[in-house]
Amino acid sequence: MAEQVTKKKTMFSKALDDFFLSTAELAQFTGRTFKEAVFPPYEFRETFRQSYLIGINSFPLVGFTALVLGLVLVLQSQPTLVEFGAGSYLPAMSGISIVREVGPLVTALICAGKIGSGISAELGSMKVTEQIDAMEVSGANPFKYLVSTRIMATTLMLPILTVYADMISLFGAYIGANIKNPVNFSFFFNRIFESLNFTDILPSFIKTFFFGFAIGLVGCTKGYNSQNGTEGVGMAANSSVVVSMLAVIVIDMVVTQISGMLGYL
Amino acid sequence: MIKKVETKEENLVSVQNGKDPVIQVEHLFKSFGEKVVLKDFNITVNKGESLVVMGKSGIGKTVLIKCIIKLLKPDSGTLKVFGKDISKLSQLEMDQLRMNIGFVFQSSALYDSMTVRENLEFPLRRQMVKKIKGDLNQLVREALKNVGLENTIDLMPSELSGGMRKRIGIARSLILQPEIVLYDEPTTGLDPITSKEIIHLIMDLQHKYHTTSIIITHDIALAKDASDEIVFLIDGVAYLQGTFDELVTTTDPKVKPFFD
Repeated sequence: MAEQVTKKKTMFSKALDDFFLSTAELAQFTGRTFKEAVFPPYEFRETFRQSYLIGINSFPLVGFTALVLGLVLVLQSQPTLVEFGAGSYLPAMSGISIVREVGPLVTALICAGKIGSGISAELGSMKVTEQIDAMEVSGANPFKYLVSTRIMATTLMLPILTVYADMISLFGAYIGANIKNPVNFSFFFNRIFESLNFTDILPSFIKTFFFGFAIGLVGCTKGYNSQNGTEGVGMAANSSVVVSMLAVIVIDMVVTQISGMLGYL
Repeated sequence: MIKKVETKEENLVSVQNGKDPVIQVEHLFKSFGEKVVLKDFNITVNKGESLVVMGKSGIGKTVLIKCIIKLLKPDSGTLKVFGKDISKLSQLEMDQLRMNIGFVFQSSALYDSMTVRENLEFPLRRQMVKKIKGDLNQLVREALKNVGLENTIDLMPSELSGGMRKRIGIARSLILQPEIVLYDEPTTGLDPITSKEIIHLIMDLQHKYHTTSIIITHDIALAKDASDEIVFLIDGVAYLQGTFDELVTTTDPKVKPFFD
């Protein structure tokens, strides 16, 4: 019995230790990222290359998911709205939902899975195969070259991907609305843009920068600090997806609360 | 003459005493958790000489050269390269010092996402871009010519064989024409013919550039051909040192099995 209690205590304290260690790692990485990004030499070329790779590789998946989401959102909400005699609110409802929440959140979650795990696996395997050591020996600063550039790239690309996802998703909503009854294209989009205002767009756009930063930061931290060979690389990629998705949801909640307090809801 | 290390004072291995020392390792201690890897390890390598470090796997040979280039931080001890105590150097000073040290990794450590050309250009761009503007292509081609792989310039590392990767790794580490080259098991995992080619390549490059080398290896053929002196690392210390011809006839029970 005493042994079981001790074992539970040990497991609890280990989990607590791991949590605080991870938090400390993330904090350290955040500080160092800002430091490396501010002080020269600057890695513009690599940042641009990473932004291009992250953006180009994510466009098809983000686009397809956004299209399906917009379509499904309309198909599922249309019968209920019609039942309550609110069918004419369909464009406004889909526009606000997509721009405020569905577009940014779904884009961030897809990127957390795709980009976060990719960064983590790439940096993890670079560490295992001594490529990071080789960079250091070459006189390069691997943190600046590998970590800062990737975090900056995800921070810059997430808003762009979100705007793209919003547009595709709204188009998906239009297709969905057309399945049962034909709707005029300009009428549908006019109703959407009439219902949207600055307070809908600004907070949802700003939070995408935080989403991008969190995804890059978690992916890089987990990959750069991965241990125990190839097994560690897999664990780092897995952990990166879980933690960055969680981070995205927490950031979303915090930004929503702050937006509410500032009167943006 | 074979020298067996019995005391701490005797545990100072100099390849040839009285010459210009390039690498000096004094009273080096390094441990990982409970496991002590290097304990009071001492070596001195003089300019232009080639020291082979042998020993069982996991004994700390790679740790030694990683400490020399400051990829690992020793627990205690002094490491001097070109007379400078590396523990006292700033990051910038260390980066400048690294310009003069090539490191050939056991796994070659080629950057997977870059072509052979970009792999070779990487250290040049980091270290010499201001000095050699416009000559990058020429330097890359010359480095590839040295290792006999000019036709691989636009290939990705995944398209190369193990031996080719080793050669490119050597070319990359020598592209800045360093005065010191640290080789970490350069022939491990290669077939005997490719191993022999790598050994000849290392010897040719040593003669061409007059580099000072530390070679970590288990390969007797490499130790025989490329060493001025051999040090056996056993139980964290430089246990035995001497030339290949001296050591091959040793009766020491800890060293003899390597040559059997």
